[in-house]
Amino acid sequence: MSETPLLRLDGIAKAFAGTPVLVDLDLSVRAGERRGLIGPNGAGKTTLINVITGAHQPDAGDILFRGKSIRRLPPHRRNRLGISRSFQILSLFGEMTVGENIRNAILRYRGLHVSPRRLLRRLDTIFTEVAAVAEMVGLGRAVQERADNLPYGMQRRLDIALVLAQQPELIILDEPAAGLSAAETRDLIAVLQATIGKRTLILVEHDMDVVYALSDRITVLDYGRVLTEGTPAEINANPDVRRVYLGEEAA
Amino acid sequence: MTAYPDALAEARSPRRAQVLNLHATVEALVTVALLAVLVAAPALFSRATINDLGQAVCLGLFAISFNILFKYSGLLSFGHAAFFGFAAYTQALLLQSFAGLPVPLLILATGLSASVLGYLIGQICVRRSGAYFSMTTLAIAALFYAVAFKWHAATGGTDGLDSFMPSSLMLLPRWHLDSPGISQTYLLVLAILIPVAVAAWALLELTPFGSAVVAVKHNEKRAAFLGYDTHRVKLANFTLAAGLAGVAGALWAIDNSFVSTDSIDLSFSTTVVIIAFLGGSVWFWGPLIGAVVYIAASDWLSALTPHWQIWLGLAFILVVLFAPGGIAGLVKSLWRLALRRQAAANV
Repeated sequence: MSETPLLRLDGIAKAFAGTPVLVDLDLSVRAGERRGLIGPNGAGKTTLINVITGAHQPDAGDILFRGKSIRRLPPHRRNRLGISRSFQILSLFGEMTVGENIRNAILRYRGLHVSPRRLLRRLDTIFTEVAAVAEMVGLGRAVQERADNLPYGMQRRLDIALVLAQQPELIILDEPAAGLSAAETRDLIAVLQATIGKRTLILVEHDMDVVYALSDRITVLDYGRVLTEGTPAEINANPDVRRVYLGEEAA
Repeated sequence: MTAYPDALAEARSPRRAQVLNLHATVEALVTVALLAVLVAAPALFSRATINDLGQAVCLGLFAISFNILFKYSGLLSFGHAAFFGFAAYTQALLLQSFAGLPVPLLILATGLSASVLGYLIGQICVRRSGAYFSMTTLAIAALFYAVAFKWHAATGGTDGLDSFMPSSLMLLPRWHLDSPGISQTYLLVLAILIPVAVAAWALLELTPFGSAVVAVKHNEKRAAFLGYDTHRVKLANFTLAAGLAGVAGALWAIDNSFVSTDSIDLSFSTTVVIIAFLGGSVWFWGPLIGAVVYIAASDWLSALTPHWQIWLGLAFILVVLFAPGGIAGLVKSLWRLALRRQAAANV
């Protein structure tokens, strides 16, 4: 029985200035799966996300989403197919309020983003959705705050709120716990566990507590190649992984 | 539907929203007052002043169209006069050839032709940002100026075009304006300008289209990853700005009954930057205030000294250095100060 994976990468290669970052990389993610992507710095994790979402064009290989190639599509077209991502380095609409940030995501998702004949104030359903998403990530009391005035941890939540607001089929989170305290990380895990539901997740993260809590399979990258793949328990027990990545922390 | 009391409550009594509403109220009050004075002007001022105000409102709409790019898309055009001048010539030629058609229709046709031109030129320009966008617009404007200067058969070259105004303007079928005087022409200009500018304001301030344009300005990368076709959003705003500049150019041709290369040369593209910053790019209507002040100051200074442009340039430098929000920014600051004093008095 062969089930078409939601996302499949075939022989992806990418080099920057002659330095290979991704090398003949294959990856397959089933619908509903929660996939952790780990590896040392420079392993190619963020480049891989950039290739999947269209920020970078691969030098070789193909990217199939629901069985169709998306390799030549620009980022906005890939988003419209159901792929939404967060950013390792926060990328918000800093001068806009939390509510306006989320509204930007929802208006686009609902296909109302360039409507010249509707009044924003009359879009009550959008307003209710904005409030719901803000509440979902714990920003209910900050709807009117300017995004760049929020504490860092709250900005991380807003970054994720923009992804969740579009109810994407494939959620890609790039180091969502970067820079968070232990308490903020615990809160983030709880928020993500409560909100991701049955959607597919690709999670790049260095904090293994987050990876173990949110992934049902983990892929380990090293020097742009897939080193190994398995369940969290298998990965934790793999000596190669312990050598190249988990190191002393897991030993 | 689930209730979200915190977020809804926050949105219903937001401090920030109250402040924003107050700013919007001040802007609305100043704008309505200005528009009221402009409409009542023929009953209040001399013919010479009405003549000046006619120039000012055309320049004001032109500066608003420039500011639509700057305020909402963050794009600083140094070549916006290309659309204004193109439209002024187009309007003159249309009036020459189709005097039997209603003038509003001809102005609409000119505005649409400027939009089409903007759409085509925008395809090149909005792929660039920052200085590269500005340089591209400058280069295109230089090209347009050269065409206007050299194509004597169509534009009259350095002589310009005159005698294109029909003695009787058709406003609507069976409604003609015979030998319109300065005040009548001025009111015709206002009658076109106000609804056009209000429609553009509503589009950018009240609809999802405006919020998309602003989102792309604030973070183009994130907007793209949220599904916005950022190129098309910027192109749409560029097209809108070109169309409005076109309407302004068409009104300019009618108001002056004369079109020359002055309306398309590079210095005119920089004049509009000065006007927009003087009035204040933070408000949609700021450039209209800037145009009225610019024309009044030019008149006043030119009566005092032949070197008036030096003083006007100096005033612009002072505005940029000490009041970057222009007149609108000053009004906003004064309003904020008054609110703080009132709050302090209430404590």
